[in-house]
Amino acid sequence: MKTRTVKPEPQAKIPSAWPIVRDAAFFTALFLILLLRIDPSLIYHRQSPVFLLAFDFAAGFLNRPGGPFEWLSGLLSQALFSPPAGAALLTAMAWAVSRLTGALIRGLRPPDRFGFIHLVPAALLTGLHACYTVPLSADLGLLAVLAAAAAFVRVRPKWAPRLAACFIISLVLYYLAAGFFLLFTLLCVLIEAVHAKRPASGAVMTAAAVLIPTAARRFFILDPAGAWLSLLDFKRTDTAGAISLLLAAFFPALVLLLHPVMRRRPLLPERFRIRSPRVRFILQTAALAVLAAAAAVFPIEKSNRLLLTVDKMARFRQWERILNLASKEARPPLTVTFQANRALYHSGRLLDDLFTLPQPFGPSGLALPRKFSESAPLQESDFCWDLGSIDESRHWALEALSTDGETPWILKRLSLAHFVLGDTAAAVVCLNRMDRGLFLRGDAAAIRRMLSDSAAAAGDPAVLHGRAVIGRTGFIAFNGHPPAELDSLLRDHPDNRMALEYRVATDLLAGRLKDLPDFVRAFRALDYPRIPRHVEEALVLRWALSGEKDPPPEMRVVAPETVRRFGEFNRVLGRHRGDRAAAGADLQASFGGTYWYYAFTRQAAGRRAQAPSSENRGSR
Amino acid sequence: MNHPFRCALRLCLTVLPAAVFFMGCGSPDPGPVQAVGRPPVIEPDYSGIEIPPNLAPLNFRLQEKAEAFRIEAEGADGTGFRIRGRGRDVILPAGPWRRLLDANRGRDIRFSVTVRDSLGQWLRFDPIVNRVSHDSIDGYLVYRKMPPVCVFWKRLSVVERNLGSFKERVILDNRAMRDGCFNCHTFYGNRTDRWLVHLRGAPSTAMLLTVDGRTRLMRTQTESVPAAAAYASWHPDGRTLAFANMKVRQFFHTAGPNRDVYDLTSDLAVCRIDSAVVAAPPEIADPARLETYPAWAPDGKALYFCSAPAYDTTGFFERHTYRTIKYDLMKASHDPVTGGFGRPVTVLAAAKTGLSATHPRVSPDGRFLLFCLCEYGNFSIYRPGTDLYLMDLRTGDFRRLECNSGQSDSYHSWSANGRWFVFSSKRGDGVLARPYFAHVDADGAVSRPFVLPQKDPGLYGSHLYTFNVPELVAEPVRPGRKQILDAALDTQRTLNCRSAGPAAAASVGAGVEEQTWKPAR
Repeated sequence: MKTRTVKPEPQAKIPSAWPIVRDAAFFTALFLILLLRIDPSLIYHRQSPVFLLAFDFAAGFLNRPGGPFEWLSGLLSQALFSPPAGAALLTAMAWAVSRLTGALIRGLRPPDRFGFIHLVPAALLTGLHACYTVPLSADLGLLAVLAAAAAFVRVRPKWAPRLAACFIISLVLYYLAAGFFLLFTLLCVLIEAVHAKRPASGAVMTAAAVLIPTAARRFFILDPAGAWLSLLDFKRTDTAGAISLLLAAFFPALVLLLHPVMRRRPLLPERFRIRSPRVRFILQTAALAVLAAAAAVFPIEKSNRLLLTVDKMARFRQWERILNLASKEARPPLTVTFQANRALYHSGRLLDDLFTLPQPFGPSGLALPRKFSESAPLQESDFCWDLGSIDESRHWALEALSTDGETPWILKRLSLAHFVLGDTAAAVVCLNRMDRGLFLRGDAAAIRRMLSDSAAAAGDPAVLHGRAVIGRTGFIAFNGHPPAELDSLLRDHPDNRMALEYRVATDLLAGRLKDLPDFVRAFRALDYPRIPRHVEEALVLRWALSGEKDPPPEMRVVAPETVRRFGEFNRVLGRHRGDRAAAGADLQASFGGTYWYYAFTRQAAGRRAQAPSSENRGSR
Repeated sequence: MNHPFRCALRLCLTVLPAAVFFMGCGSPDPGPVQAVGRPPVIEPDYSGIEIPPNLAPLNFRLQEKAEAFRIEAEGADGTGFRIRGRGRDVILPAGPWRRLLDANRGRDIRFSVTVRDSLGQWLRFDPIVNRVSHDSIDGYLVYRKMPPVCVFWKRLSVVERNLGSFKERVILDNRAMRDGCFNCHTFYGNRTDRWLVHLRGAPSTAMLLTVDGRTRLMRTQTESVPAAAAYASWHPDGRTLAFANMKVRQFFHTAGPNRDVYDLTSDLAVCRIDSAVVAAPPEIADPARLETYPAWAPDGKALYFCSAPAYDTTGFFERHTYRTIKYDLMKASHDPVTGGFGRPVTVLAAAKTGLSATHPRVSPDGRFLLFCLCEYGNFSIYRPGTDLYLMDLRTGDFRRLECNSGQSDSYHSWSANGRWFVFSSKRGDGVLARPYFAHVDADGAVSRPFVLPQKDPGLYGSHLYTFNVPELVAEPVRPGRKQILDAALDTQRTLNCRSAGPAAAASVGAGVEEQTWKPAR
């Protein structure tokens, strides 16, 4: 084959410190992106990595290919709980990947330094973590593949040692990293077939790659797809899947690119080639910066990040921060509305400010509909605990144990629920399990103190709440916490304020106003200092809709200012003479946070969305 | 081999093991020993029990303030062993343990426990006395291991445990089966050449049936038997299965026992596996009743089952109708030649006990019927008051067993020799089920139960998985787990059963020898 000759490049060199400075700047930027933009604690929150220092826990990982790295991933992922430690860990992983990529490139003997290409996988890996769902086992798998490939290219370039090395390393790699071994084998095959020009050797390696997962199915419980692809994210159809594929494709492409024939072929036409190494270096660095920023920022889905942030804040009961975030969203996802409403209750503002936040029509933003609670059993458990369904809280925590494993929060919730429900022996089992966690012994000791010291239990707000609202008579738990369930909770504990306020809010959101007088009596019985604003607004509306001239008795609790404002609302409405669209804009400006405006827009929407829905049909 | 290397090797092979041995036995000899005057508290509680002579060591944890311990295990024949150790976990050596049990069949063995407390004082407890049974137990226990869940089943496995050692082997794991559910593995006569497990959802809703070591999916749903099979029982002929098919509903209470289950409809059906014919004979599939939990008598001439009157679903929850559903224990005669059933007779009426009967299992010798009685319904594992009862089928007398606890004691399985049974008990904490064993003598006297021993004696104290559906089998499960998994995933080769039709329903499959059963190789 005839190859084109390329003019020798000028040998003007860039200062030796420049690449070092560039690499340092690159990894510093990655660290900052991870810390400030991606936030490793959100990865921790999303994945809830489990790690226990227990033999039976480890044994559950050692009985399948890829298990050892999943176990190690669980251990390392504990660092993600702390944003700085997590960012440092992920940066270190990215650095190690770039170093090993460099080692692989050097092993393939390129003619000169191969620019910044060794940093590209690090940027892609960071992009992968920006999706929040990819576990550290992916990093470990990639590191192992690169280390193995870098070692392989250094094996004596004869067919026998190379074959032996490929087979032995593949076996070890398969057990440690499961599907990642395929990438290693592919690299080996390419190196042998393309670089060493031994296609037969490559064919034997391919046969070994086929053989290993097939044989593994005799020793491990693996379905055919699992035997080949476990730990690989290629099967996913989301951004993470695409980046994984890109990352995996990068290395075979690199091996092909480093082939002597390809090396001699210029990538760019002659007239676009940059002769000056310094200019080239600066342009490469700029391209790298763009790549890093794109990889780290582009995969972040705003709604996903918002959801994780709000959910994490709810876990730590940072209610005001949730309300700050939610108030900035015009059309938040339903689960964000759910947590924001929870935050309103815990801030004592549910029935005063419910309609200042965007609400879907109907009560679906108050309690998670079934399909949401099934996908987030722990969140449902938290909500049930707040609401006073302690048994149901335990039930959902047990479901979460099945879906998410023995995460710290699940173990804590279970031990507290068992304790409050009087199943002390079951609580002790959970506490013993917590003792095996890396950072859970303190929590376990605190709960254990409560088991033996009633004064300690009486001082714990969660236990105090649980005991105060625990079910007495019992009833059937329904999906989505309908009014009947809230009524049952109130029958058990008329002083259950959350059940009362959620019951009232459910009716307001559903446009049911007939029970308002009963709710007013309930507020008085519980010594509410005043009737909440939205209830006052609903009472006025109810009176107006009744057509009665004289105000009903419950109107006595309504402040005159509320009645005056309702008159103003009606005047604005009347000004537009049936033009609801124009009236809506005016009303939103002055009455956007009122129940009247919600009722107005709800009526305008023709009561389309009374049933729980995942759509974000906001009232504003 | 050169000389220095040989010396080093010799050092490794002789001196080091000796050093390790002496270090292990390094607790100082007890000086003055103070008698405590009671046996030690141990966890699990392996005291006053009858032990199968082929069981793994009963490792335990001392629930005493102990920094070190000395254990002397001694049989009535004078044989035994001594161990010393630090901490509280007592790990008994397998070899001496086996020899001790072998040499003392039918006799008592004593464990003398001496511990050193934190002040350095040695305390001697009264000995723990157990009895080694003459009767062996089956070699393996197969159970389902899972978190105590109701709706999601993401970490579900069927596990085989070698009872003579601590070796566990996973037979099925739903992570390799698209997170599908499986339940109620059922073996033919404590053997593993014929067994089944019901799959739900994924890979398919069918019965995974193994015959002569070959496995294949079989779909029993037909026009006359619309629901999937559950709670199966093998006829002694090894070719006929009785099973329940029902519409199950689950709901949750917000106070008291949280989970509850009821059947909207439930009938029994019979499947002839070699011809893949399913029928629902009217005697055991009465629309006016809910029949469930079939169990063949060992001679195959009777089918025991549970049955309750069908109920009105109007106001089911408001009127607490579910609390009124109570199952009678029934028996229908069966003619193995014609395949026909006789009119069912009541063995134990719910009206008599005020309780609901579930899970009848006849002992292999046909003498005893072991069953559960619970407050209501048929999902006894969810009812804390569930107890095991034993009925002498010769006299019809029955009694609540002494081995029951205040929590649910349910789901039992007989050993092949009928001298042992295993059952699921939640006595530990009310939430997690553990397998307990008890011995039954020829007169029906039942020994104090004990939990399945584990290598780590603290396992049950910190293990959040529940062990349910324990089934004793005499041999390892066949075929290999790869073949089982492949068959479960091979939905294309599912054998669809056909309905016997009304005429044949009364005598299902009798005489039919059509060989449609072609299991996967």
